[in-house]
Amino acid sequence: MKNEPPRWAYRLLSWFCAPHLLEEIQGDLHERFLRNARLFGEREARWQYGWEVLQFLQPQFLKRKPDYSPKPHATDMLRNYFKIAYRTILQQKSYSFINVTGLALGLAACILIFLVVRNELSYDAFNRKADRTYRVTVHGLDYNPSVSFAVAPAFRTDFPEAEQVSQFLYQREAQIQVGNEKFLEESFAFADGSFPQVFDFEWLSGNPKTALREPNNIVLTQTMARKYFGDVDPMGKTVRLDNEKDLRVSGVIRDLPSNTHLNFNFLVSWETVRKDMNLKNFWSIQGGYLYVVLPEKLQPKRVEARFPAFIRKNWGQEIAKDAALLLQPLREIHFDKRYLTQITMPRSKETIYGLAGVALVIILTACINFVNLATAQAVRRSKEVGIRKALGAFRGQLVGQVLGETTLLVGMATVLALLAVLAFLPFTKPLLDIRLDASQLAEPAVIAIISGIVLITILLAGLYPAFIQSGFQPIKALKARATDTSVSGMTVRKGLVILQFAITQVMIIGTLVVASQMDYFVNQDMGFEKEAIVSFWSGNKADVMRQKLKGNPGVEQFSFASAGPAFNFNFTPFSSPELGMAEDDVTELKLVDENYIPMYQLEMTAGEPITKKVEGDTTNNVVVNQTLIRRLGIQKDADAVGKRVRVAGAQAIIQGVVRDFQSESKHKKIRACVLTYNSRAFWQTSVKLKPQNLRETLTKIEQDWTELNPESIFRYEFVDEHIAKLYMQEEKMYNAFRLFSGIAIIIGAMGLFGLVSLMAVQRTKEVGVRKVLGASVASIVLLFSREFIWLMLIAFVLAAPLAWYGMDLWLREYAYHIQIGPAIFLAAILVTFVIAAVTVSYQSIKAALVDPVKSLRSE
Amino acid sequence: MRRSYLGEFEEVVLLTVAVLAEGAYGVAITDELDRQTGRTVSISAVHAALHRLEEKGMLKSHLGDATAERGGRRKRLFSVTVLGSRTLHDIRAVRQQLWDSISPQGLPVVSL
Repeated sequence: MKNEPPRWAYRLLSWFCAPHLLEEIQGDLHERFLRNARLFGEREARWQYGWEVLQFLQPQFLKRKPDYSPKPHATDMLRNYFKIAYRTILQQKSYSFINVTGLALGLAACILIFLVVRNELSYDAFNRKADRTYRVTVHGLDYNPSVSFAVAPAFRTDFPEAEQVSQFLYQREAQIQVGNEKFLEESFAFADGSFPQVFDFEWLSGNPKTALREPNNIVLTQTMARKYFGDVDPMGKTVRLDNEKDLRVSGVIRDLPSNTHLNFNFLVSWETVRKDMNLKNFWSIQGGYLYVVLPEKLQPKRVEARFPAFIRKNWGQEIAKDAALLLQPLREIHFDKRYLTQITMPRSKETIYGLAGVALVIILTACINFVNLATAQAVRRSKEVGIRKALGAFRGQLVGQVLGETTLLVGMATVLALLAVLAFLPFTKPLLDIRLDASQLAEPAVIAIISGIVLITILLAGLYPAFIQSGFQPIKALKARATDTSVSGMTVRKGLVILQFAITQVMIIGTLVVASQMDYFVNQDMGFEKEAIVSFWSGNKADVMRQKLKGNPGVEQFSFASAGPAFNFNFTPFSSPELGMAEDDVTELKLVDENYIPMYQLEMTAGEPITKKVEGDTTNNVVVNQTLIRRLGIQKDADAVGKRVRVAGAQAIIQGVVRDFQSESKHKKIRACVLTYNSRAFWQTSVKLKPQNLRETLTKIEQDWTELNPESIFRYEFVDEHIAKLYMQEEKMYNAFRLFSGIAIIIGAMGLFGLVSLMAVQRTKEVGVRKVLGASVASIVLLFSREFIWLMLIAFVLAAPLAWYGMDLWLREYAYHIQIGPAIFLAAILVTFVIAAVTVSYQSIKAALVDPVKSLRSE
Repeated sequence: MRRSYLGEFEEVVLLTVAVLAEGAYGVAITDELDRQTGRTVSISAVHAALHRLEEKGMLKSHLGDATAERGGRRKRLFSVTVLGSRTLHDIRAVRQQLWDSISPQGLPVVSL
C-alpha cells in the first residue's frame, strides 16, 4: 500500500491553488485521504481525493492574494542595477569621466568619419541615371577629362542610340553685372539643353526641359539668385556676363549637393557661346566635358570598342593613331586619380578607406580604454559580485548587469558624441572640404548605422569585463584583497595597453610623415623664386601698364608671360627629327618676356637667356629645361645649345638651357618645358614687390589697373599662395589626419591616465610600506613607470614597420616625396614617451607623495 | 442595527467553529458538521465558507502545528472573533424574538 494520494490530483492542486491557501488545503486533503484509505481502502480514497481536489476548482481558491514573503519582480532587480550603476558612476567620478569622454570622443570621431565616408562614396549617386551616365574622356599623351567640342555633334550622329549627349564647359571665374553692381564670381559653366536631363538638380523655378535650350539664358543657383536679386523673383531678369553678353534668367536651382564632382554657381546656355567655338578639330585647346547617357542594356565596353572607328571616320587615321576616347562611369569620376586637372580634385578610394580605418582604430582605442579600466575596476567590485553570487545571482545576470552598466555609459557617451558632431559639422567645410548638414543625421540609414556602431561599441567594451567580473569565485571574491595579487585579465590588459600604444605610435608616425610631406610640398625649393610675387591678368593696354609699373617705386621687377612657373597652362607636342626623335612627346610651352628668367631666378645652365624680340623677327629661339634635353638624349647641357627641335609644329633652335624647375604640382614628375618670347601671349603679369610697404604698392597697382580696365575687377594672386592651393587636397587630408590622430592620442592618454590612477589606488598600501622601508619618491615613480616603458617599447617594435609600410604606400602617390628617415621614428617614440610620462607621472607622483602614516593607518 | 449577512451554511459553519473551540480546522469542522447535521458536506465547501467568514471578519485564524498524518503540513486553526460572536448572538436574538412572538396556535403541532 503506497498511501499516497494520486499524483495528478496533487499536482493539479498545487498548480491552480493560490499559494497562501495551498498548505492547509493539502494538509486537510491528505488527512482525509489517510482516513479514507484506512476506512474504505486505498482505491476509494484515491477516488475521493481526486474528486475533492476537483471541487476546489472555484474562483476563490484560484485568486492570488498579495504574497507575504517578498518575491522580487524583474524590474526590482533592474532598479537595483540602475541604483548600483548610478552609485558607481558617482563614486568614481574620474573613472566615469574618462570612460564617458573617451567613448564620446571616439564615437564622435567615428560618426563624423562615417558621415564623411558616406558622403564620399555617394558622389553623384543622386542622379537617377547615374549608373548609365558616362563622361567621354580622351587619352592621348595624357589622360584628359575634357574633349574637343567637335566630339559632341559627331557622337550624336554616330551613336543615335545614346539617350542624352550633353556638353559642359567649366569656367573658373566670371564677372557678373547686375544693374550697376559688379560681382567677381568663381566657377560657372556653359551647359547645353540636355544637361538638366542628365543631372537631376532640384529646380525651384523655370522649366528644366527648355531653360538652357535658347542662347543667352542663365540658370542661377539659389544662393546666387538671392545675392543678385534679394527676395525679388529673378525669373526673366537680366544679368551681364564678362561685359559682353546680356543673359536672361530662365531658371533657379537649389544649390548643388556636396556629393557631386560638378561645381558651379550658375549655368549659361551653351548656345550662347557655341558659334565662337571650334567644332572641327579633334585636338583643340578648347574643350569641355562631354556626358552621355547610354540606354539601359547597352554595355559601355561595346561603345568604347567602336570609338577607334568613330575617330577614324570623323578625324582621319592620323588622329586615330594617337588618341583614344574612353567612357568614364559617372560614379567613378570622383575617385579616378588619372585625371588631376578637373573641377573638383579626385580623391582616391584608398584615402577614403584609410579614413574609415582610422575610425575603426579610434573606436577600438576607446573600447580598449573601457575594457582596461573596467577590468582594473572589477577588482574593486569583487565584493559586490561575491555577495550577488552568494545571494543566488546567475552568471548570466551578472553579465547582464555589467553590459547594462556599459550600455548606460555608452548611452551617455553617444548623447555627448552627437552633440559634439552637431557642433563640429559647420567646420567640416573649411577643414576637410566636405559639406555635411545636420539633416543627414536624421536619415534612417544613418540612424541605423550609428545605432550599429553604438551596439558594437557596447559589445566590444562590455563583453570582456562582463565575463571577467562574473567569473569571480564568490569565496575568493569575498575574501578581501585576495583578488588583488592574482587579477585575472592582467596579461590581457597588458596586451591591450601594448595595442593602444602601438595605435598611438602609428598615428603619430603617420601625422609626422604627412606633416613633413606637406612642408616639403609648400616650402621646398621649387627651382624658382616665389616670395612676394603677385600675378594678375594683364588686361587691356598692357603697354600703358608697363609704364605705370616702371613708375611704381614699390615694384622691384615685373614680367609678362603666358603663365608663371607653377601655373600649367599650355601643353604642346615636340620632337626632334634631327636628333633621331621622330615620335612626338609632350612639353609645356611658356611664352615669356625677357624679364621672366631673371625675376623668377631660373638658373641658366648653358647658353643664353630669353631676349626681347622686336616685331618682325622670325627667328625661333627657345630656352628649354634639362628634362627636355635629357629626353632628346643629350647629357651635357652645353651640348644642347644650337640644336634644332620641332615645337608645336614649328622649327626652333635651342639657345639656352635652364635648370629644371617645378612647373606643376609635385604630384607629377617635372615635364619637358620650352620657354620662348611671344608678345602676343602676355596674358599674365607678374610683379615682384619690394618687401617694404607691400600693401601700398599693391593698392597703387590696383588703382592703375582699374583705371585702364574700368569695366573689370582687379584680381590678383600671390605665387606662393597659388602653390599652396595646388596642395589643397593634401592640406585637407593633413587636417583630417591631425584631427583624428589627435583624438586617438587623447583617448589613449586618457586611458593610460585612468589605468595608472586605478593602479595607484590599489597599491596605496604597498607604496606606504615601501616608503616606510625607505623608498624614495623617485624610486616609486619609477616603479609605476617601468612597466609602461616596457610596454611602450614593445608597442614601438610592432608599430614602426606597420606605419612605415602604410606611409610609404601613401608617399608613392607623389612623384616627389620625402624619405621616411629614422628621425621620424625617433620623434614618434619621443612623443609617445612624453605623453606616457606626463600621464603616468602625475598619478604616480601623487601616489608617491602620500604620507605613509595616512595610507597605512586604516584597516 | 446593521444587518450581518450570513447564509445558512455560513451560520452553521460559524457555530461549528464555536463548538470545536480550540481544534477548529477544515477536516474537524467537516466531520463535526457531518455528525451534528447528518448531511454530507464537501471539504471544499467548508473551506470556501471559512475563508468567506474570515474575510467578513467573523473568524480569525492562525497556523497550527504540523502533524505527520497531514504529510508534515500545518493546520489552519480558526476561532470566532468578537464580531462573529455578536453576529451569532444577534441572529439568535432575532430568532428568539420571533419564536416568542409566535402565538401558541400559530404553528400547527405535529400530533402523535
